[in-house]
Amino acid sequence: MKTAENREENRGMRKFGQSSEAPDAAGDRHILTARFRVSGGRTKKAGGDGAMKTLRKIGRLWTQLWQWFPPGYEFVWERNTAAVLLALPVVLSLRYFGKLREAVEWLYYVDGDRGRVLRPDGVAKPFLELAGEYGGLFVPYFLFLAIMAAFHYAYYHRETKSIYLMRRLPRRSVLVASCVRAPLLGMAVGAAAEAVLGVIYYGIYLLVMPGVCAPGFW
Amino acid sequence: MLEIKALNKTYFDRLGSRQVLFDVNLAIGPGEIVGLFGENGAGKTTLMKSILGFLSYQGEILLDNKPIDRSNIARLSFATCEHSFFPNLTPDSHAEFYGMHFGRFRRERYETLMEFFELPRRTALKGYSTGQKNQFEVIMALCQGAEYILMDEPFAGNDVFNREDFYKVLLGILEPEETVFLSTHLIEEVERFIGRAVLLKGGRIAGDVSTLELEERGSTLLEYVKETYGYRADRVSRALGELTGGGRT
Repeated sequence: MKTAENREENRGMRKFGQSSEAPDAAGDRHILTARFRVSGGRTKKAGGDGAMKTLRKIGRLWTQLWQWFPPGYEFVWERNTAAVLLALPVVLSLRYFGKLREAVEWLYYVDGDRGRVLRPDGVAKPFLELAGEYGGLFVPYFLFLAIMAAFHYAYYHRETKSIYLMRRLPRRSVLVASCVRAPLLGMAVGAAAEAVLGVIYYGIYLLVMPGVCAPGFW
Repeated sequence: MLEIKALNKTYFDRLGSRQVLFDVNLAIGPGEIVGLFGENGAGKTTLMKSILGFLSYQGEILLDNKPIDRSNIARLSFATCEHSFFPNLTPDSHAEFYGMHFGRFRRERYETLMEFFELPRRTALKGYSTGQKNQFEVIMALCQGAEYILMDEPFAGNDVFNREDFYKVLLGILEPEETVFLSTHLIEEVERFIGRAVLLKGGRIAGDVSTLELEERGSTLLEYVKETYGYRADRVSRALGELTGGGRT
């Protein structure tokens, strides 16, 4: 039996999202109770440069995503599917560079001795015409996240009726939060990824397009 | 005091409507151990779920003169044969969850009961047998720190020795202010354990008697239930007689 003193010590040393008792099975880490707020302190890792620290944080976030899902939810399949659905449009959007190259090439012609010359009447294709279609590739990802929230609610009615426990909790928000936290996080990540890609692609567009051809967003 | 006043419940589906509770009036005081009995479909589970707010209903359900809402729902706990735990979590993870959400979670009682019933604490509940699952379900209802413990056929699937142990443990650990409202078919078993029996028949309260009163009458609970339900002991033999044409030649 743990003493009150031991319990206090463990609570202080508890890493974010982990029980103070070691998991007894390799897969047990992802089925510990989800925390809806931080309790206990975080442990600090000494040393490591900025990049390694960031990578370690991302790695930790990846394995500790269970905290964003309903308690005991087997989240790995959903996490991996969402990651694939997010990666696919990012990879497919690289075709934009091919279209950009063609658009830039179209603005030039080869004039005998002068070589590659800008067309006097050349007008650059707007950025949205070149890159707009790739925004639509993210739609399956966002749809999947919306369906995930429904899956999470259905989870409380599968195998057992844990919905009876969730509906008896004094804080009503816990049930709703447990269903939507992971999808909302995914939507934020997806929106950020789309925004970052958009900024990068537009920045490259402005860099490579000749200014006199009046490149524009749309 | 848990008061149920003029409770009516109607289910609506594509076939129409079906009323299952008719003007149920009941009051359960603190410290009582009340058995709820009734045939299948009598409305026992519907009554319990209405008390917990899982179902909409007409009427009034009050806990110490206040409607049951988020501010006092933690004063009620629930153990159901359908099981309300998370199958992929271990018992200890459940204890952590309860401790986080129910401020009066009884950690010591949890440790004691888990040890007494020798339930593995770090095995995910989906690996438990049915009997173990039932035991765990009841343990969590008892350890939540609630004053009113509702149990809907919690021992379905447990062996008789297991059930006997549980009744004895319950009587031993319950505190004077803890109230148990237990629905079960095991009339003869729980008779020694409960202080009051409420009978539901066709969605209506058909009987409400204390076990002390039954004792004074010299009647058993089973006899009382049979009498209240109008059970005819000869109906089976009569039906068989009709089927076989009055007997074999």
